[in-house]
Amino acid sequence: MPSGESQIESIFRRNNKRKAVVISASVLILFITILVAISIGNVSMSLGEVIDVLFFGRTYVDGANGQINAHNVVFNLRLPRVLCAAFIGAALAIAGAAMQGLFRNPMASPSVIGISNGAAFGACVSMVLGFSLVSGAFAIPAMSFVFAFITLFLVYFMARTKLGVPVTMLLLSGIAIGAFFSGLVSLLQYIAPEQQLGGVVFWLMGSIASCGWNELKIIILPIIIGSMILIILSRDLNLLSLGDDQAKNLGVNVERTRIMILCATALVVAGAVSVSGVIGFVGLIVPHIFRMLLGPDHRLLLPASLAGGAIFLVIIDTISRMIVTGGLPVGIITALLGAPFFLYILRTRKKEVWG
Amino acid sequence: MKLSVSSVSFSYGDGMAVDGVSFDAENGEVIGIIGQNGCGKTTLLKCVNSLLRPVSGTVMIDEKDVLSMPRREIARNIGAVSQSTTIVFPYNVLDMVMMGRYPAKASFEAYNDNDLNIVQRSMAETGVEEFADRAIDELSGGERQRVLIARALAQEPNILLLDEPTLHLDINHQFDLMELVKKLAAERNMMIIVVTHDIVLAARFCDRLIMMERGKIVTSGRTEDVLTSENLARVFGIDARISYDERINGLNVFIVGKAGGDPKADRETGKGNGTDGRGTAARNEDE
Repeated sequence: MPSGESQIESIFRRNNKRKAVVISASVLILFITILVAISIGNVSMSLGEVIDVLFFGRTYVDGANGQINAHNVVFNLRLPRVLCAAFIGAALAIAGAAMQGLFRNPMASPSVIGISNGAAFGACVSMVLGFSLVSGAFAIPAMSFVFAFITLFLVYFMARTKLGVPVTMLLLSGIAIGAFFSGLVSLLQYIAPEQQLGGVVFWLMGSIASCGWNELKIIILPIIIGSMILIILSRDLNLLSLGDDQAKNLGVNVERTRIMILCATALVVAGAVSVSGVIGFVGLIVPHIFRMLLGPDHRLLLPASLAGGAIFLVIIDTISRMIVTGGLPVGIITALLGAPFFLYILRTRKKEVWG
Repeated sequence: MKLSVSSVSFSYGDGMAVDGVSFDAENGEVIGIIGQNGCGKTTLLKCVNSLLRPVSGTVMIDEKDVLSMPRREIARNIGAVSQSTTIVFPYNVLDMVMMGRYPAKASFEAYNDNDLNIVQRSMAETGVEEFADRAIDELSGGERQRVLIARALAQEPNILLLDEPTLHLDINHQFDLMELVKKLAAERNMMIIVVTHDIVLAARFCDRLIMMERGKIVTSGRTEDVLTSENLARVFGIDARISYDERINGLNVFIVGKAGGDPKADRETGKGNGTDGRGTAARNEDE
């Protein structure tokens, strides 16, 4: 401890420094993960070649059968897909972290208050019934956004009581409305014509195989805006996570802040779900892992989950590409790999985070 | 700084939990709100900082209606420590106390050295500096309570509301805590309102008392005027002797037992009917 500085001051500065280190480290790891992910595939490249192609305008690399147009492989195939995976993973993880804090519940994730199911229903309506508010490339995402917000407001309205909107009511009405939408999705699957059913089922499994620049364009803004709102509100989220009364005592406008956090969450989740379908587990386990490693402070947890979710899904998607050409739906792998990994972490960490 | 509560009523749906309560309070005072379980003490406290919105009546701080203030402004005026605080997220103690600086900051403003100084002083005052780097869930009930009070002090409020602050504390820490309350009122010139059903502590540490029953104020005023054998028999159904004790330079309460029959008769004969609990039983059914 430096002289002239009290113990409390040094703890305060150390914690701030730690936050900066963790966030820069996770961004760095994300960057490296993306480079590695790009280098892996049918045509494998070295990291140096990837960097040359990405940043220094190199076009051709030496393949097994002569020169290969690496520029095309990197920019038209792998980069958009890897970036989509990163954005989707980031969105799901930060949304999960925010939901767990807001609901003070370890089981909370974007799907638990029905937002994912609502968004999925919107997308299915567009796919099966061919109905959407807009036509063309934005038909499916537009419907997922609309239904994500319809679900959110339905849930909020249903949870309202004379004394405000209690967290338990929100959670329970979310579960009920989510179940309702998931029933509607099954109904749509049941009535869907044969040639569309495959597409719907594949989409529901959660896949980023079809993601390219167009999909990235659709999701990038809502995810960036929503995540920024969540990170800006992370200090408020800390107070909300203490419970409504304590948050009010400390000066938080609880209702307004909560609706802002819910809207930002709906924005990022709808963004992710609209192009990738429902990818389970990322929103649940990534925040848990980081909370176990870093503690509950959302000012650190949200950015870390953002980067961590991106890293996680990029790795999973890369594995899926290595198993099957084109890629196994990542939703399958997140569940098959994610669940045991999560259980391992849960059993080996001594400190209980959830009393 | 003056707090005036006038004709405040609140209902959870059936019957009035708080029914036309009025009182005034000023800086430097320790005010106790006492009464049996379910008499509306906590509800009244929640109306004061508008955690609950009264169905009628007003709460004014220096002529300004609390209901018209944004939450941040209320929190700059009133610090509050609630009764039960379940901990879901084990924040570390320093972060927890720093949350008390939230109402002083604009939305994007970071905590700075000034905030750190205030936090440090609050922690010193409640004696929790040594826990700064510990997780809140590792602390005992009493230590936790002091951290929450430090957090309320970090808000630099003029008014401090404490709901059953001594509830989970052992007798030793109960006295420490009430000494702290007394000190804050004297040194920081704060107004401190304490909800408690500990009559002994209320007698010793409160300047004024408000005695409640079924949502209404039965009596209020200086502690020695409110704490009488009659009132205690009537509201709590206990037979107690109140006397000035020079050893503690304050009021001492000796509880004889449960009151029975006519409290006045008991007092005259100087003998409590401790075995007959019928008066109390009837009262409990009413609640």
